[in-house]
Amino acid sequence: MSEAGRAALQRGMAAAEKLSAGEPPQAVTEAIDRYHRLMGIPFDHIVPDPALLPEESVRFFIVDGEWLEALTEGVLSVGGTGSRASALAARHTELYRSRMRTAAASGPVAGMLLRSTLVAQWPTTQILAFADPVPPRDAKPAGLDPIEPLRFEALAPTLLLVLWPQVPSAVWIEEPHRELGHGFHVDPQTGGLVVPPAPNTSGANVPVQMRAPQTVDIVRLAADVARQPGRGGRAGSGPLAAALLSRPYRQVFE
Amino acid sequence: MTELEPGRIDFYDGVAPGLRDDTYRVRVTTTVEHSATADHAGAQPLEVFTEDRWVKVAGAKYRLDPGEVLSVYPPPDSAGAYTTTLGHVVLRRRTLPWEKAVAPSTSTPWLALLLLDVNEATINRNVAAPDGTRHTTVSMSADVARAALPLRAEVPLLCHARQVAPGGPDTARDDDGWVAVVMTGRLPVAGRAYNMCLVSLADHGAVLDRGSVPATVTLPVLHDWTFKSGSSGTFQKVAAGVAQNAAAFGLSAGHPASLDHTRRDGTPGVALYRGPIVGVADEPAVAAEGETDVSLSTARTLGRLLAAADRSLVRELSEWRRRDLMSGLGPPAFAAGSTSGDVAAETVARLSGATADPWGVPDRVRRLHARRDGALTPAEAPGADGGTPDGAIPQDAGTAAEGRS
Repeated sequence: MSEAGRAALQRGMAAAEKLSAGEPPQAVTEAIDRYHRLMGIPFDHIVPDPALLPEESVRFFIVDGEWLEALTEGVLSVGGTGSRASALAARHTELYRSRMRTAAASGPVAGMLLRSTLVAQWPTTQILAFADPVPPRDAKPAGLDPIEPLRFEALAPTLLLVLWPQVPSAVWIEEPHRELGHGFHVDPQTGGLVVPPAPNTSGANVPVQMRAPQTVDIVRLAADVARQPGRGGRAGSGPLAAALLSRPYRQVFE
Repeated sequence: MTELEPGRIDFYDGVAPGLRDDTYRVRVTTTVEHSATADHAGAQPLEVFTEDRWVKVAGAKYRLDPGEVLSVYPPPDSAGAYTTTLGHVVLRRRTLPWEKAVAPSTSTPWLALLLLDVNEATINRNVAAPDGTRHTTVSMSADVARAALPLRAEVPLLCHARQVAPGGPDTARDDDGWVAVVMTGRLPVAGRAYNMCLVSLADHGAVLDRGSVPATVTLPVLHDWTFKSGSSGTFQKVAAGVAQNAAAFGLSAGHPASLDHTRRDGTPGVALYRGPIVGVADEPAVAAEGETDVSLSTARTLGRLLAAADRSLVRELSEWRRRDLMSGLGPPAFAAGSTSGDVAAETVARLSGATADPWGVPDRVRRLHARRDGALTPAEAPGADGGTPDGAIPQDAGTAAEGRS
């Protein structure tokens, strides 16, 4: 190698040492944020074996920062060859790594995968995650302060992915409020339809009488329901509807 | 009207409209009197004017503006476990069910929601209505009508009004939080398809009383939809089933998945892999003999592939890299204070650096290669004697090669 060539090479190396990582373009940051929210990651890279997520199951997870750092490194190394480009890519990766650590609250930290017909049949199912202190199980929906999810998306008709910015202490799966119908409960002993007692009362189930096959005897039902404690004692369409309104079912995971 | 606290729903038996649909007379009587005293005592009527105006209050009888229906249950075209639920329709105008009465009563609401098996009844669309417009009707046999229609005493119990707190269910498209709800009294059977028809009973009091039911009963349909009653279980059942199978994700750095893997030398091996999600944060497993942990290299490759597939991202990345490289290389060669001689020296150094032979090919080899090069040139371009300097290249290959290097 000629003297001049060697000198030029050394200058280049020295310059690469001195390289500083400038402010990243917004498009790059957005793309990396997207990948950190697992968007565009092939599903078999997330769940390598279908047995890890059987039908009708829910799996809670935490996000592996090391894996995402490696992914980021790959993203930033694209299109560059040579020592200077790779030195720069390493600096860019370091920049994102420190950014991920400092702004930890902005990236996903935990999440859940729900594989169930719930996702397909009740598309507006509510999933609420709570940090400590966890509200009581029968808390009213108003005034709850759930963790805002970073991502809430049905990846497939029966597969839901939720990502949270912190590890929740409790997760509630709640029946969609809009889907509330007027209905009856099934008595586990007799298998017959019943109207449950009013909340916070000591009443008994009221069996539903039919006046014809599949046809409810509404007049009798209204009178029976009115006699349940806590229902006001008056047979009318308003009290009847209030008694039949099914309360949203809430499945709690802690 | 007061707003309710969030999450609260108030139920009412009904909301009476200002005027029920009917014909009303408005009578205006004007009396003109004359009085001679200051305290108007003993005034004498001079004249009495009476004017009558007949006003007809009539709402839609054969059809409903689609905007009047806020929501229906079960959801249209859905399939689900509805065997323990009574379907309903939510109407925007809270007085709607009570705006007409089914004669001879003056209080029976005129709306009913019928649950009809798709084989039980026929829905006729675009039929001439008695008022000359087109509407939809449903026809069923007398037996089906007896089974599907509510009794007169049941009709008022199946209609109610609700005031829902802002943000509560069914109020998303409603303006005042008040809605009217009409329920059906029949329960669906699993595995069947059903039509739900909101019908007008206004002219069908006889059927309601089950007095004289004609062989075919045809009712005007204000709104209808279909659904299937499946047997997949209620939300409660499905959610409880899911709860039986709830766990932390089965992979972690300490417990990666073992996948079949072909190593670089072609021998079979085991690849240890975990994805971006793990059940617990733990220390990576130590790879045993024949095992390779490919998690992070897979992530790196995937990142590279994802980025490479995104054209605009590649552009942004290389722009960023170019900018940073420039700022790193930038001014040192031509910094302030350098003389023109420095610039010239630097330029020469850079140029020679860029064009220097970094591999140090021996001169003899280079000359040999250049000679072969030179020998080929005239053969490839025979007779190219005008443009090249007098075809001297073959004879003077050594010089030419030195000139090139």
